[in-house]
Amino acid sequence: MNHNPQSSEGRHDDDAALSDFLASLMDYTPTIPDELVEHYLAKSGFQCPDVRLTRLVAVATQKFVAEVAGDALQHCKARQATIPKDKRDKQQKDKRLVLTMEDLSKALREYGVNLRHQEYFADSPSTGMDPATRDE
Amino acid sequence: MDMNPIQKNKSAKTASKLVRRAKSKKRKCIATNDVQVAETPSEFSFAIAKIAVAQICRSTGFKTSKYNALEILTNVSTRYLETMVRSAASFANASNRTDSNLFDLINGIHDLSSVQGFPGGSLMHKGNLLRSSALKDIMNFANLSNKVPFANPIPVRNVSDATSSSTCLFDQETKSHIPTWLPHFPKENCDQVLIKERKCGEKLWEQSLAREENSVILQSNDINGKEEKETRMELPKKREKMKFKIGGEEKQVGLGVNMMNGVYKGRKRVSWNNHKIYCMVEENEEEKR
Repeated sequence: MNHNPQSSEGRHDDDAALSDFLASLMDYTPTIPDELVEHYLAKSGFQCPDVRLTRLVAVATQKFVAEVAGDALQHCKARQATIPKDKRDKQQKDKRLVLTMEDLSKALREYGVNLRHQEYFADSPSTGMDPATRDE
Repeated sequence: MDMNPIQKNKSAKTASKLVRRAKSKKRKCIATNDVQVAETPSEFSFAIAKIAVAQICRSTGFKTSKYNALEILTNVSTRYLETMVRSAASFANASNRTDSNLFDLINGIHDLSSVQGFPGGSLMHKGNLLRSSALKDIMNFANLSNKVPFANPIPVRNVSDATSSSTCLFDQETKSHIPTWLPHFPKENCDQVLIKERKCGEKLWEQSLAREENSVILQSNDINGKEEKETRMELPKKREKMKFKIGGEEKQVGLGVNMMNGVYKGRKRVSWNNHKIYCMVEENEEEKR
């Protein structure tokens, strides 16, 4: 079938890589513990005695969470970069990287999850605002 | 999960600020409720998932997290996991299998990564599943990301308990749906006993159990009639009476009988349905008297 020797070699490499990866999953300890994944597997009707598949599920989920968190981190950094320099000293405390709802909702929107804050009702528009920003 | 001591040390070191924060939050909740354990299994699993997600967030570079944000990320990620696995299971079921395999899982992964899109997604059903780029991404992630094992080994319930309950299928205490007045299930080797008894002659399992218990008495008894009487087991608890009440008062139930047509004449119920209910109400009234 394979007329192109290069592609067949590439395929062999791919298969080897896949089998290596699956073998390496035996010794891999994902951040999401096996027991937790097995709980959710059982809950969803997924039956498989193979530990490697459990680990693969864990790795896939871990990748998803890491990607979302990474996106949120980028949003967080971008937001902090837009603060003008004179105010930056004032908000030095906020320089720490904090996972906030604002960044998370932006990050999750790319993954098809619409996240909304709870509606906030106030007597006047300036009620809930920071006293520093209210002066302007 | 078997963890060697080196990993344990490592995991103890990597007990991150986020994790500690999550734990302290948990402790706060526990302190307010004065309960040491999670109330439901789902809460327990969610708490564990929260720690894992917090660890992942820390490994990506976050220092701290808002409580709500962490909770939502955990919620979304557990849903992600469940959805992926559920679609994999449905792929397995669609091909007449109960056990899922790698191909089903790859299909499930494809289902979820199609929101984002991945290279080769347009030729998904033509190409080889094992060469999917979504799987390759996961492989790269697993190889390149730094591995953060879970902070603490999860305390597993006593293994001997679990195995004993699995060998003796009927552990009365674990089955809350079985009414208490039913006789207890046989404790050990129930299936073996049953099979033996069945081969000798058809007998109910409670009779066989009772016979085992009263074997000394039974040996002295020669008459069959007496034996049968003795083998009848007493219920451990008296069964409570069941009452069904259908409407305290007369109610006209559907079926268009309350229209003033031929069926409904002179305030007399002809409909069988209403008749039945009417009778039962009368019985109820009799009981009250």
